[in-house]
Amino acid sequence: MDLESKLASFSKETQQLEWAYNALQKQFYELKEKLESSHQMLEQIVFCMTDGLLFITLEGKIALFNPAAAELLDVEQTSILQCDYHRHFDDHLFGFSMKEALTQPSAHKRALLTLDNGKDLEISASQVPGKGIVLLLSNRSEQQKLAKSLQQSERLQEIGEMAATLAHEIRNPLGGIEGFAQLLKRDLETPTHQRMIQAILEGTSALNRLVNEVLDYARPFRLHFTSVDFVLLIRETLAFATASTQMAECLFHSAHATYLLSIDREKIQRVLFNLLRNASEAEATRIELTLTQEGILIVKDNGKGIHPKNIEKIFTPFFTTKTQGSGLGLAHSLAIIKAHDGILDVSSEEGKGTAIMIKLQQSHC
Amino acid sequence: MKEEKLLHLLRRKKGFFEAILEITEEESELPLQEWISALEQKKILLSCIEEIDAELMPFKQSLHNLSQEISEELEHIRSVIKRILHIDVINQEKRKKELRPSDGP
Repeated sequence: MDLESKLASFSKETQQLEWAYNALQKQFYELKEKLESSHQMLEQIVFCMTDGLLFITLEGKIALFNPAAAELLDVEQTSILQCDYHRHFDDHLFGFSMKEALTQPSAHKRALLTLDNGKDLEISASQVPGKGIVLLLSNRSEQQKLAKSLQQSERLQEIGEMAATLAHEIRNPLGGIEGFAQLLKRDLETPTHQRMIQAILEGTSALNRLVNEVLDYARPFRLHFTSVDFVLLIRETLAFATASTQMAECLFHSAHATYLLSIDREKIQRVLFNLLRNASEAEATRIELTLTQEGILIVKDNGKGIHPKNIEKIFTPFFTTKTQGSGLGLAHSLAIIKAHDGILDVSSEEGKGTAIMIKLQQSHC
Repeated sequence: MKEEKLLHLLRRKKGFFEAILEITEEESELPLQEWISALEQKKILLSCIEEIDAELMPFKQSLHNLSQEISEELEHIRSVIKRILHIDVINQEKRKKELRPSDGP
């Protein structure tokens, strides 16, 4: 073989090497990019988790500590990352010795504990062989709150059903009492007897109203959606309310000239009327209604307000601080707003007044 | 004179191939990031060889009866390249396995 062919063969092999090196390098950078993107996604997931997540290396360093863990343990996340676990936490903080768990192979651990900050946590610890320990912290206080809320909701449903049954049972004899009282009113002539009969009739009438309200609340309702100008509806309700009852001074400000919503006109009007009546009965002298740019209606009064301990109960059926109230008005209003996928919220300061906020979904439009 | 010049170029070329061989023999033990640097070094050495190839161009047809020394040098280069190619195949298989994305989320 002459020099030319030998050098040509070397060139070919050199080129082969170059191609192979380039291909490998390309593959490496592509995978590196994929790895970085997976790493970022994983970091985001860990960052957004509502459960706390910690990873302690075999050397006892805190290699991972997400914001939820920082909140549950009342520490600043950035200040303890990559720090020694035992510098910041007690060895038995999670109900087992971290030193032992890091040095000896052990099974998956679960524990329930209450921290000094009052939080109830469910701890789940697993060993990652040769690497360290991963800890998952779940806030049981939150879970318990949800379970309690569910229990309360079930209990309220039972109360509602029982109240409806009772209302039906009361209604029939009540009709009889009212009828006989009417007959007696006709037959008895003395003023004393007449006063007694009148008292019976007023009593039956009040009972009838209560029974109707209970039945109204307990009855499952259907919404009849129509396109309604919310601004006009508020104005009409205000005119009706101020004409029919002794109402405080009412002012209405709207960020919209018209605001179309698809709602059950009659039911939403009833909610508005309920809120105005409540404000008046709370000794308000001024009621201000504001429809914001975002479509939030705020009904604010300067009445006596609600005691902080009663705030959570005001939507509970039959809860009332009024001598004449049934305790169903706000509960029913909330049910109507919820049926519209809306939000009804309240804030109040005793002695200063109450503000009710209603947000109805525009998606119903 | 021409032969001396050719011999000098071939020795330089051999030197670069030997440097590549040295890196190739050691790279299998390197961590991924360092291996990429080694790959880069090998590519630089290959570009140096290409420069020598350009200098070798005028000799390609002028010399037909090669001296013993030049023949030996060429044989040596050939054996170094063969060795590089052999180790490279093994190394690359190993690296490809490492770089294969694992099944996961």
